[in-house]
Amino acid sequence: MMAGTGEKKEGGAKMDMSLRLSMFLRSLLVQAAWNYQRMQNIGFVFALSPALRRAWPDPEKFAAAAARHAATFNTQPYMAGFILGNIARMEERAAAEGGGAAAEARIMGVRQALGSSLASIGDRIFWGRLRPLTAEVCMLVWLAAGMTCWIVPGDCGGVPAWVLLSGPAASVIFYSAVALYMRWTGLAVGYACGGSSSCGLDAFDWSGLIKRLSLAGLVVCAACIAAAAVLLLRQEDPASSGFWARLAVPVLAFAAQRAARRAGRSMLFTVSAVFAFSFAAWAAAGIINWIRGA
Amino acid sequence: MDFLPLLATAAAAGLLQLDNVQVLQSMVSRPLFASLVFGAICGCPAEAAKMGLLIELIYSEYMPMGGTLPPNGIAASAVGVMAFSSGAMAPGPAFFAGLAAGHFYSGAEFRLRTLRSGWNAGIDKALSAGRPAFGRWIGTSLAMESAAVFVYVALFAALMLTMRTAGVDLGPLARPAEFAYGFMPWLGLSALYFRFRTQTLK
Repeated sequence: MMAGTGEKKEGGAKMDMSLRLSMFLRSLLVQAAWNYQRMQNIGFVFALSPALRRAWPDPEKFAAAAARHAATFNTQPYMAGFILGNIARMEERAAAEGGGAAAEARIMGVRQALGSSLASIGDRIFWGRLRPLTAEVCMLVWLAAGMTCWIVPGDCGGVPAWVLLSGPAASVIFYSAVALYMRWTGLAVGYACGGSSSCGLDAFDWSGLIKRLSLAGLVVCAACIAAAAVLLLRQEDPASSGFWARLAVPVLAFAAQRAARRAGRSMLFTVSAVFAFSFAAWAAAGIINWIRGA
Repeated sequence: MDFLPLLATAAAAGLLQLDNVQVLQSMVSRPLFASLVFGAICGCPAEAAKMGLLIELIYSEYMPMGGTLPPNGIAASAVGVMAFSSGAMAPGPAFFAGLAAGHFYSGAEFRLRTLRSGWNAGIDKALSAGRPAFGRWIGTSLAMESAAVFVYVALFAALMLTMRTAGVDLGPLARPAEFAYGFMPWLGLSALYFRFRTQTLK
């Protein structure tokens, strides 16, 4: 998966392990003080500080470098490592060459360019695909372990604790492993190709990864739907009215979802519409019963 | 149900909120996992796990991109689980109460983010004086976020207990809400299906 072109381009400079560890731990807080004015700026300087202190041991020069990086910055948090590593290397070089306005302008340009490019990639991978995939992983694990009360109406009591935990735990492990790997690897890759404005963009086959994740999401989702439908319909005799009533629930839900998407409505709108429809149907049934009774 | 488990749920929600945006951003703060934690505290892990999955499916549609404020899954799961476990509501109404609570928390988050914008002037001042203390700003931010969710969820806990003590009967509303709750797994699954289908065909 890893193309590794970035490392080769710049001769594969290696990041010191203590610096990498320190920046990695601090990068976990990159969103800690997110604000509308400068977004991730506080978290970014906090994560970059160990590298800045190394590059600029003089407190005044360190403060000047930190002030530069306290400007507006925003990216996808799991992709921040690529930028942090890159900027750490650029600051080291700038310090070795005595600094200067040109070097500072170049650092800020690379920081800004990579921030938005990697945010777009990261958003599509993590928020758009991996996160919904984790819910699917949970459903699959639960279905495999026999926990079906989330889809088949009935009481959830009596499900063993390990079964309840297995689905969410599998999701956390699956998602966090990818996220932490990206944060940790991003630092090294970014440092290795430090100075390049395409650093990290060619580190992986991002578009291939995005396509594969989309396909995996669709396949797993289809498997969950098929398994859930079988479980739901197996409860009733196909000749009974209960069977058709149960079948109507997924069919109506899919129809409502499709209609809402075509109309460009949000998920909460669809949920609210179903909620309102249920109340209206209940009220109508009550009125009919009352009229019949009267 | 005692006040203590509800208070513990609010405290756990405050802690888990740190993972939601500020620290790490693993899945432990997602409704899928957080609901299970709240359910274990409140003594209803199975129903809480189901509710968590459904909230996760509904909220998966909202992405925190470019500073947008999606509904808060922690507040939604905590309030949903507490509403059910306190005996104030059946699972269906509790789920919808949770969804509403998660949705309205965005207002509080907006205010916190706006408040932090004001810190930048102080940071610039500290940097020009050569005394940058980013750790302090970050620590304050974490404490504020955690406290905000704790207070928000605790207020709902107090509301549930008041409702139960006052004998508020949501009986007439419970049945249609339960009926609508039955649609939620399929609404969530269909949302996932249409999302991934669109992405694959793009």
